[in-house]
Amino acid sequence: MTVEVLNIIDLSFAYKKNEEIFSNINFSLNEGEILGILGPSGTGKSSLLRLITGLEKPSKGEIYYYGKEISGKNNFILPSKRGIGLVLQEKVLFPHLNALENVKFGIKGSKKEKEEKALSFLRLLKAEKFSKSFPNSLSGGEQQRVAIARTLAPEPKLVLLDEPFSSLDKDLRAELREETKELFRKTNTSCIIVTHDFEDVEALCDKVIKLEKGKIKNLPLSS
Amino acid sequence: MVLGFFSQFLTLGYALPGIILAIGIIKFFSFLDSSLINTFLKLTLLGSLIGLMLAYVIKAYALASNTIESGFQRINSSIDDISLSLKKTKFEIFLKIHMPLMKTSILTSLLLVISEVIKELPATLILRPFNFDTLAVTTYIYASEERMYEAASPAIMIVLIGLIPIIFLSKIIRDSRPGA
Repeated sequence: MTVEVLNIIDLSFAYKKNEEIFSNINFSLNEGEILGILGPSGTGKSSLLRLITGLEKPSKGEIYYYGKEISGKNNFILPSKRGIGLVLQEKVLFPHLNALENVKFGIKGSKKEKEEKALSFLRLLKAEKFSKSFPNSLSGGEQQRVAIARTLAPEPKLVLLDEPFSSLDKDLRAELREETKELFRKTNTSCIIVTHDFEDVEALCDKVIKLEKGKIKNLPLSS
Repeated sequence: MVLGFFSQFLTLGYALPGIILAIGIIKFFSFLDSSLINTFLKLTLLGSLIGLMLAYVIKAYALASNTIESGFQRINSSIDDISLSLKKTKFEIFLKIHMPLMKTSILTSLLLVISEVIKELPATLILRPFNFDTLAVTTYIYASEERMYEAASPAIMIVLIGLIPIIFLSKIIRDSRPGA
């Protein structure tokens, strides 16, 4: 049986009144699915992710997460209560914490449990060897591995990736893409990935939509 | 918004000459003493330590506020977004992320405030309570009487009190750098 993780109904968003970035967007995501969102810059792809995580409020429409309204006219659940994972394009590791402490940050449990879980996620992303390193001594790819491990460690049911591989070189990008996909499959995590790159979509996604001129268009993967 | 305006208004204090500030506080306190406070609380503010403390706060606020604010602005706002998505409350983010990242700014502002307060003279001379002398006041009194030998020790103390925190703070700041 397919379980609907996310359902977005007639969603509109504007930073300024009467200047809508997108309007009446509808789409849904099932458990374990990876959805790609393509589109040129400035079409509101990142804003859409901010709406889903609760960092912004929609001007119209509703967002349902596992059937429960999390953003809408009558309800708004704070981002800290949603538990939707987020990986950004820029490397935003906590600079005063080492890689292991970064991954431990979002995990609940005893000190030992946190440590073991964080290490296991670093291992999954082949980042265990630099667990004691601080972000300023890590390369771009290493930082992104730690950032993905940090997001996945609290085991969110839904992860949003905002151009996570765009600052990496081609080989590293392909490698990290494969590893991330495998990890999502293993943990049955649903994912939305925003990207400019159709290669990301081809390699990772089960379905893809295009956000253009404030509207959504379903695209077949073969296109 | 009100807090922001109040904060900006307070930063003007640094530009005010100590003597003007002291006269302003005297006027304000004498008004309070003759009206509200004295009637209800039987309390005299004029000549108390409160006036001096207020003058120090107004004088040093801009130094502390600007240093801490610039430290806060250096923190990438995406860090907050990521922390929120990791189910952390705003208070937890403040405690576990902002505070450690702003440690250097807070310590630097502390140092600036200490050195500003310790050498402040005009407002202290006017607002200090009876029998209350600071190092700057003692130095001034001895120096004005041309008793240079006696003036030397409090003057050296001012320099040392300014220097010792610098040594400690430099060490703390060095140690607080990631990967140190």
